[in-house]
Amino acid sequence: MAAPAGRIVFDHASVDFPIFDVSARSLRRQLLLPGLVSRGTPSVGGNMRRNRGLITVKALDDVSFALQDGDRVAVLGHNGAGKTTLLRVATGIYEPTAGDVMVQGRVMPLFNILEGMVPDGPGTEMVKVRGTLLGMTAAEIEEKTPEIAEFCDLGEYIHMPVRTYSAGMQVRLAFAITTAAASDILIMDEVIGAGDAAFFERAQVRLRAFVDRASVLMVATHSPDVARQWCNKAILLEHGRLLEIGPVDSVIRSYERLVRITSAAGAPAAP
Amino acid sequence: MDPVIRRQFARAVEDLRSGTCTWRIWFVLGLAEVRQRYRRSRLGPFWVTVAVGLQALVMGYLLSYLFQVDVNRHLPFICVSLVTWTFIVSAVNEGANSFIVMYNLILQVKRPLWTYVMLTLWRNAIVYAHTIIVFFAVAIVFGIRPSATYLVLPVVLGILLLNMGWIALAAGLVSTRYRDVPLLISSLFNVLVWLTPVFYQIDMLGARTRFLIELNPLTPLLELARAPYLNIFPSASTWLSCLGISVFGWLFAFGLFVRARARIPYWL
Repeated sequence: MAAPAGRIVFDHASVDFPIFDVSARSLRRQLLLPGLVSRGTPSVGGNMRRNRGLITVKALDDVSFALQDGDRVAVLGHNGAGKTTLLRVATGIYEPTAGDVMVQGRVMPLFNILEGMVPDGPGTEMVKVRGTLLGMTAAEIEEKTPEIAEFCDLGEYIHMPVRTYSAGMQVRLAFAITTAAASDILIMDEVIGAGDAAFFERAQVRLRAFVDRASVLMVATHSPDVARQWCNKAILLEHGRLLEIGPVDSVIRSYERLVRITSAAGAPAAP
Repeated sequence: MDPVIRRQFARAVEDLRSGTCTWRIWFVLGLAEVRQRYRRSRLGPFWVTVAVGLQALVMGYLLSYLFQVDVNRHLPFICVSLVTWTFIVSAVNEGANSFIVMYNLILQVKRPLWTYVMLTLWRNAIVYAHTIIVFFAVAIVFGIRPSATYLVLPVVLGILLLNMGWIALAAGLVSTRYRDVPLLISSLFNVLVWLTPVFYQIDMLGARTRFLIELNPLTPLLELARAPYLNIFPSASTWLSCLGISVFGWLFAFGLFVRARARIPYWL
């Protein structure tokens, strides 16, 4: 079953985050203490600036690229380089504060596969709620429930409250429900997986089939191995700027060079 | 019109449309939430019914004594009044938190923001549906027989929901940006309960006080939604006020929505 072609186009997209906790999120502060902002904060991740008493962080800075059917893209970069923000913009959760983003096809972001868990409800209810959140119809959920239960080896436990499951079992169930759904564009913050060694192989096979059904994959990761295993392209981000986009191997080389430079610069001088 | 505003306008319209149409999400989530809240309790949501019933009983007798009015008329009035008021208060309070408590879902997947307001309304409608039962029990005891006015109930409850929709939406948008607002709202309702004819009838008041109470937009809304239960057809002025409040309220909330919608995820 091939998904219809998905497409993602970033056109000079920038994202500025307002940081309320630093200055003031409360109405009282805005009413009573205009212009009171902590001063002289050093820049750490994205670039901070102060604009009319409001601190903003530039999480994405003028990012442009285009992805199309068949692209399997790893998003590489340091912590705070803007990977998650990039994924959330691609998902449509954040609309860019400048520039434009165009997304074609049904997007399924998998930031947290446990979304929609009802702890006191039975496993079947979790299938229902999570399935609905993933856009499945009642008939699809009905049809897929036995297969999901079987894949998890849950058996009759599917009728027991989810809170009685072990943590590993909860993740297994969430994983099974998620990978039963279908979408054109898959977006993951780190590759999703499920638990223990015995289950790992089966999970990998199922995940591979799930990813193959999608037209476009975007996955943020720190691991060059994961990038090589799942992707044919990669994007390298630093301080919210797109440094490089291209074939996965060449971008990984740049990434590793960047990591070496920064860790050498950041490390204390050798004795 | 400025192209940026025009685009935000179109997206706000689309958000409301698709948020209403993807009803399965708020329908299933709302039921699951109510079920989760009352799991393993025997009476479950009917605890609220019992509580409202007791409150109506005590206040009905006490207030009819204090106000020197007929308890047979005042107690059923208090009962339906209380159920409607409880619905309004919790819809607005929870409406203010619609986006804040759902930050987890909002930052997971792109969904129409209106979905989360619908979820709040739907959850409160479920609670309303099983607290209103207490009124029917009271009606039987006090010999109120449903008349033709009950036929307008779907219309007046629809109008009430429509208005709770804009109030919850506006409250939710402002509250996400300014976190004092939910607290402000809940304190405000402690005062509003006395500035709205919940426990007394508006014609018990003198002309000057009455004027003040009539300025409160919740007064006609409450009156519209409870009158048919008491076999009273809402007056023309009540209908007109509610219509006006619906139109202006929605214009206001929609204007806010056009401006703030895209910013909500950033404010979470």
